[in-house]
Amino acid sequence: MKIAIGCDHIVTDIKIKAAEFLKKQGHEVIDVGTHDFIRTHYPIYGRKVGKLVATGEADLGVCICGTGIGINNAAQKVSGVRAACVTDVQTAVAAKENLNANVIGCGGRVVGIGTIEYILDAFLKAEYKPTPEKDALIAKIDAMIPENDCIENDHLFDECLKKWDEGFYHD
Amino acid sequence: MKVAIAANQAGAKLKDTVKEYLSGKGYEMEDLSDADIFTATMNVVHAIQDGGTTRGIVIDDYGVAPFMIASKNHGIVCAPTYEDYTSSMTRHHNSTQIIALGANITADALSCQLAENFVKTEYDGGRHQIRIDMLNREL
Repeated sequence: MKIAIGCDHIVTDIKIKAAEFLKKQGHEVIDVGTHDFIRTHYPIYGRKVGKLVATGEADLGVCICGTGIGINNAAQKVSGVRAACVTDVQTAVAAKENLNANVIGCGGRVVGIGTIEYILDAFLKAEYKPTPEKDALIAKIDAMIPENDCIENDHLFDECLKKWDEGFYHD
Repeated sequence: MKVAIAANQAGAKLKDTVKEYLSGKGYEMEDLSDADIFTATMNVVHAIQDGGTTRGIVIDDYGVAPFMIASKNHGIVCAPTYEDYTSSMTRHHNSTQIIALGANITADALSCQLAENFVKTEYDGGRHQIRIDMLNREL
C-alpha cells in the first residue's frame, strides 16, 4: 500500500519511527515532512497528506502532531479526506469499518510508539463494512466541502507565511 | 458560558451525564441532540457559527463521525478527545470550539473531566493564530 505520512516539528522523531514501522511491513511511504525540529506549521503537512490521499496518489494517510488535533483538522479540511484522530485500536478500527476513514492520526505527545504501531497495524488490516446507512453518511460527509482551491493551489499559505516572516504573529 | 451539547442514541446516556455535570458547574447547557449524528453535529456547528455559544460537545459511539462532520465546516476546529492532555491543549493551541466524545471509549467520570477541562480553558493566541488562519484558508 502507498501511505502518505506527515507531522509537525514537535513529533518528527515519532513520525520517523512510525514511517519505519510501515516500511518494515512492506508499504511504500511518502514522507511529506516536516523532516527536522525547526518550528513550522501543522496545516502545511496535514494539507499535503490530505492532497495525496484525495487525489489518489496515496491509498491512505497518517498525520501526527503533538495532540494530533491540529494536523488532522488540516487533513480533514481537504475535500475527499475522512480523517480519524485516535488514542486506541478499537476507535481506529471503527473509523475504517463504519466511515471508511482514509487518514489515521494520533498525538505523538499523547500515545507512545507502541500504541501507534498497534493503531497503524489494526487500521491497515481493517476493512470498511458497508451498509446503506454508512454509505449514505459517507456520501453526505464527502459532499460537505464546496468547490475550492485547496487541492490545486500549492501557494495557499503564502500570505500567512509572509505575515509570519514579517513578525505579525507573536506571543 | 453557554455550551451546546448533542448526541445520537449511542451517546445519549453519556450526554445526559456530561450535561448534568456541567450544569452543576454553572454552565448554561443547550441540548441539540438528534437521532442522526450528522444532524446532531450540524446543530452544534450552527450554534457556534450563529454566535452566542462558544463551546460545543458532540457524543456518539467513538467520536469519529462528529469529528469528520464538524471539521469540514469553515471556521470550525473539532477535537476528538479521549484524555486530559488533549482536552486542554486543544483549547490552548487550536482554539477548538467543539470536542467529540466517544461513549464506547471514555467512561462517565473521565468524560465529565474532559468536558470541563475543555470549556474552562482559554486559547493562547499569539504564534498559534497563523495555524488557525491557515486552516481557514484551506476551507
